[in-house]
Amino acid sequence: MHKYIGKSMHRKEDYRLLTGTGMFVGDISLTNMAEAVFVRSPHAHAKIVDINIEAAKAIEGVYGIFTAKDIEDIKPLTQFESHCFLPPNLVEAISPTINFNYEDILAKKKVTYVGQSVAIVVAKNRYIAEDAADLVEVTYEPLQPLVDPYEARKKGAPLIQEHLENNIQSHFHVTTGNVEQAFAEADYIMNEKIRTPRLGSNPLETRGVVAKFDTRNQELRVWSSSQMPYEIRSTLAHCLSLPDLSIRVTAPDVGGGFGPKGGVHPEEIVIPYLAKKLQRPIKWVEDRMEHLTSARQSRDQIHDVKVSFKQDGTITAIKDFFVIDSGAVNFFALTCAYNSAYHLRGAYKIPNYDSECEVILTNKTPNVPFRGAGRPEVVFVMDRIIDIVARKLKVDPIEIMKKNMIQAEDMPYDQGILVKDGHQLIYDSGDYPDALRKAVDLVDYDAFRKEQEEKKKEGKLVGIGISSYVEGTGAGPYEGAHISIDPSGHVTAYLGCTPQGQGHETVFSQIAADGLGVNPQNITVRVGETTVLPMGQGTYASRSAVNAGSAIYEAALKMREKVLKIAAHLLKTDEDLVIDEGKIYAETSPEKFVTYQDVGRAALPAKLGNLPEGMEASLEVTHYFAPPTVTFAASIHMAQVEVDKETGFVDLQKYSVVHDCGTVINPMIVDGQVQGGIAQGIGSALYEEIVYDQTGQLLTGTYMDYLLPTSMEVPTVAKAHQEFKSTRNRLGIKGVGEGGAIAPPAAIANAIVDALHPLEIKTNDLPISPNKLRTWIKEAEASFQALQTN
Amino acid sequence: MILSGQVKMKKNYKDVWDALHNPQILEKAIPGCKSLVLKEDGTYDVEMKLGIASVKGDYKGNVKLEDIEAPVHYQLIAEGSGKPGFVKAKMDCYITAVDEEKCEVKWECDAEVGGMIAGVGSRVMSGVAKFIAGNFFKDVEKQITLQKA
Repeated sequence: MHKYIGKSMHRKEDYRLLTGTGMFVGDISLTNMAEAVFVRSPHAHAKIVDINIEAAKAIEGVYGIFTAKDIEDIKPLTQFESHCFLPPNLVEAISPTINFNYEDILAKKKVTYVGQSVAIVVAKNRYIAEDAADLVEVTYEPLQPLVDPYEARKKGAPLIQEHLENNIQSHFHVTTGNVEQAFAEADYIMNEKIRTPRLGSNPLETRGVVAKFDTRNQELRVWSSSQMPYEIRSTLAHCLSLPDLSIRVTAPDVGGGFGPKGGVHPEEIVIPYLAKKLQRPIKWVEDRMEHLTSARQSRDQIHDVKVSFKQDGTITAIKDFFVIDSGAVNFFALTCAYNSAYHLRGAYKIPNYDSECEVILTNKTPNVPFRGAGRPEVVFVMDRIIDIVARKLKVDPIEIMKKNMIQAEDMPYDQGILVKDGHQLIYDSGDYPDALRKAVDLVDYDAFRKEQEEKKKEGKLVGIGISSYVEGTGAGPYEGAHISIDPSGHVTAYLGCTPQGQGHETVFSQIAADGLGVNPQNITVRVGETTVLPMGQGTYASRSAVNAGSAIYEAALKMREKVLKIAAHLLKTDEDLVIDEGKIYAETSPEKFVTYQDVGRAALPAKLGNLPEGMEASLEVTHYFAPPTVTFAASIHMAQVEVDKETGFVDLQKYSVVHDCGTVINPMIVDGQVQGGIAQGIGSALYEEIVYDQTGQLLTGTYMDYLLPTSMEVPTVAKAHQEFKSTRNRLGIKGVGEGGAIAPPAAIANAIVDALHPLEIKTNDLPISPNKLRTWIKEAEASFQALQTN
Repeated sequence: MILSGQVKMKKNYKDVWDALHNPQILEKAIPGCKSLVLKEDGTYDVEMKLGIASVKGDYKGNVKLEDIEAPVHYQLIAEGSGKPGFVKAKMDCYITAVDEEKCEVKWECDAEVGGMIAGVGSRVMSGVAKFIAGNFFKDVEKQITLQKA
C-alpha cells in the first residue's frame, strides 16, 4: 500500500555531509564575531575564595572577562520541567521525592565538579581568549569531595547542594504483586550486586554555540549543536527573562548527540547572554578535553537485587534497590530512574516486582540520559539474572528465557505498573518467543553448541550470550509538522524535532510522499530551527519516527483532502480521484489529470487562484500528534565471543540481532541505527568507563584512557526483522534509535561467562576489561582448586 | 598518587644537602624555574614553566622545606597551580653517603594532582616526575661542581 515507506532510499543529507558542504556550528562565521573560552574548575569540591582577572584583562584583544558576580541577572539552570513532570496517578503510585536542585551558569560561591565553569573570557579570537584564560587566577579552598554515592548518601556527609538536607536528590518506590510472599514460597533465593559504570556519549562533533543579538528585530539568534532547540529557547527565555519568541534557536547540522546534547548546558545560556550584552556575535566551540570533562555524562547505576525462582526455572519475584550517581546536579528528575524501574522485567512475566531508587548527588559532572536512558543498565541486570538462574539450575539460558517469556497470545500484556506518562504499562504488540526462535536460527544455536564443545577441547574458549529487551519508545508529549505547498507544486515540510544524523530529511519525506502521493524528491524537509514551527520537542528517546512521523503523516492526509477538493474543482468531476507521483486524476480517465503545480496555483488568493466556492486560499496544514502513550519495540541480541584466559582479552566474533520496530520506514537507516547502537553497546560492555579518583579528579580525560570501540572491535551485525505494528499510531511505527545500545552489555557479559564455563565467574560489573576479567578468572580458579583439594 | 625514585650522585652527601637548601642552586637546577624567592617564614615562592606534554604550562606556588634529620632527611611540602591544574605534594628526601665522594638520594612523594594534569596526565605522571627529578639532580650535581671550581 505504501510506495515509499519501507524503501531503502538514499539519504538526502549524505551528499552535503560527505562532500564537506554541511553546516555545523563550527562552520559559522559572522562579522565582528568574538570567541569565548571558559575557565573551569580543577577541583571537585571547593570554595571560590578569589578570582583575579587583572592580568588576563590587560591582554590586547580581550573584550571582557566575566565571573558569577557579573551575570547575577541570569537565573540558574534547574531541572528541565518538560521532562520532569509526573502525572498525579503516578505520584500516587510511586510516592516520589524530587528535591529542587540547580546549577549556576558560572559557579558562584563554590565549585561542585571538575570542569565546572568559573569564568568566561571573550576575545577577538580563540588564541587571545585561551591566553587570557591562562592568566585568570582563581583561589580555591578545597572542601571534602564526595565520589562514592554510598558515602554521599550517608547522614552527615558534606552537602553538595547546600540548601538540601542530604545528598539524596530523588527517591521513589514502585511495587506490584507481593515479593515477600514469593520469597517465602521460593525454591531458591539469590542476591546480586550489578553495576553499570559512568559513561560519556562522545559524539563526533563536540558541543558548540554561536549567538548574535539582532538589534533590528530585537531578536536573540542562537546556533547550537543541540538535540532540542526548543528546550534551549524556553530555558533561555526563563533564565534571561525574555519572551520565548524573541529568541530564535537553530540546530544546524549536528554531528551526533545521543542524549547529553538534549538538555541545556550553561554555555548555551551565557554565550547568548553575552552576545546581547556586548552587542557582538560570540562563538564557543568545545574542545575534546573540555567535552570529556564538562559535557554531561550518563549511566552510573548500582543495583542490589534479590530474586526468587523455582526448580523449574520460573522466576517468581525480583526486588531491586538501586542508586544512580547523578553527579553534582540532577536535571532530569526520574527520567532515567523510572525508565530503569519500568523496563527491568522486559520480555518476562515476573508478577512480583519491587523497585526502589535513590538518585544521589556526588562531586562529578552531572548525569543525564544517554542512548537507552536507564534501560541498558536494567537489561544488564535482568539478563544477568536469567544467566545466573540458568547456571544455578544447570540448564541452557534459552530455557529460562522461554520459561519466563510473555507469549504472543498474552498481547497486549499488562506489567501491572505505570509508565512514566501515567498510562498503564501495557505492551501493545510483539512476539518475543518468535524473536528468540529467529535469533536461534540466525546464529544456528544448536550447531554452535556442538562446535563449542569441540573448540573448548582444543582450548578455544568460545561462548554465546543472549539478551533481550522491550523498550517503550516514541514518548510524547507531542511532535508537530507543518506542510506547505507553493505555486510551483513543491512541498515543504517543517518539523519541530531536530536531527543529529538520523536522516530526518529522508524518512519524513518518504512518509509525506506516501501521504500526499508525490515523489520524495518533490519534498523538502526543514528541521532544526525554532521558527519552522511554533512548538516542538526534539530528537531523543527513540521518539521522532513515532511522533514526528505520525504528525507529518496526519498533516499530509489533511493536505491531501484539500488537494483532492481543489483538483476535483479543476477537473470538474465528482468521481473519486487518485494521486500518483504528483498527478491527480479520476481512475476512469488517467489521461485527464492536474498536477500539484496546477493545484498550487489554484490555491493562490483572490482572483490569482481558482478555488472551490468558500475554500480558504493557500495550501498550509499543521498537525500536532500526541501519542496515547509509548509503544513497545523489542529485540533479541546474541553475542559470540572467544576469551583468552591468560590475558583476559575478549574477541567479539559475531553479533546477531532480531528486532521489531513496527513499520520500518527506511530499512537501510534502521540497519544503520541498529549497527551504530550496538557499537556503543559494545563500548559499554568491554571498554568504556569514566573514572574519577578518590578526590573527584577525572582520570579518563583523553581517549588514551577512555576507550572507545573502533571499527576493528565492532563486527558487522547479522540482522533479522520482525514487524509487529504499533497499535498506538496510524502507521504502526515503533522507535529504534536507542535499541542497539541497550542489550550488548548483557549479551557480551553472558557470552564471556559461557566461554569460561565450567569455570564459574560472574560478570556483574562493567566494563569487562582484561584486568577485571583476569581477576575474576584467578578468583574462580582459586575457589575451584580449593573445592578440588577439600 | 605515590611517586618515588632514587639517584646516585658523585658528590659528598653534605655538599648535596647544602646544595638542596641553597636557593641560588635550586633556582638553576629546578627544571623550568623562573624564580625562586625565599621568604621570611622560610617558604619559597616559586614560578615555573613546564614544557612536558600534558603538564605544559606556567605554575605559581610555594615550597617549604622541613629538616627532619640534617643532613640526611628532609621533607619538602609544595603547592602550585597553573592552567593545567594544581599539584600538592609532600616529598621525603633521604640522602645516604656511599663514601666520601658519593651518595645516594632517595625520594618518595605523595602527590595530589587536579584538573587537566589528572585528567590527561595521570598515566604519564610517574614518568614525568622521574624525568624532572632526573634533570634536577643532574643539574644540582653540576651546580655543586661549578660552585667548587
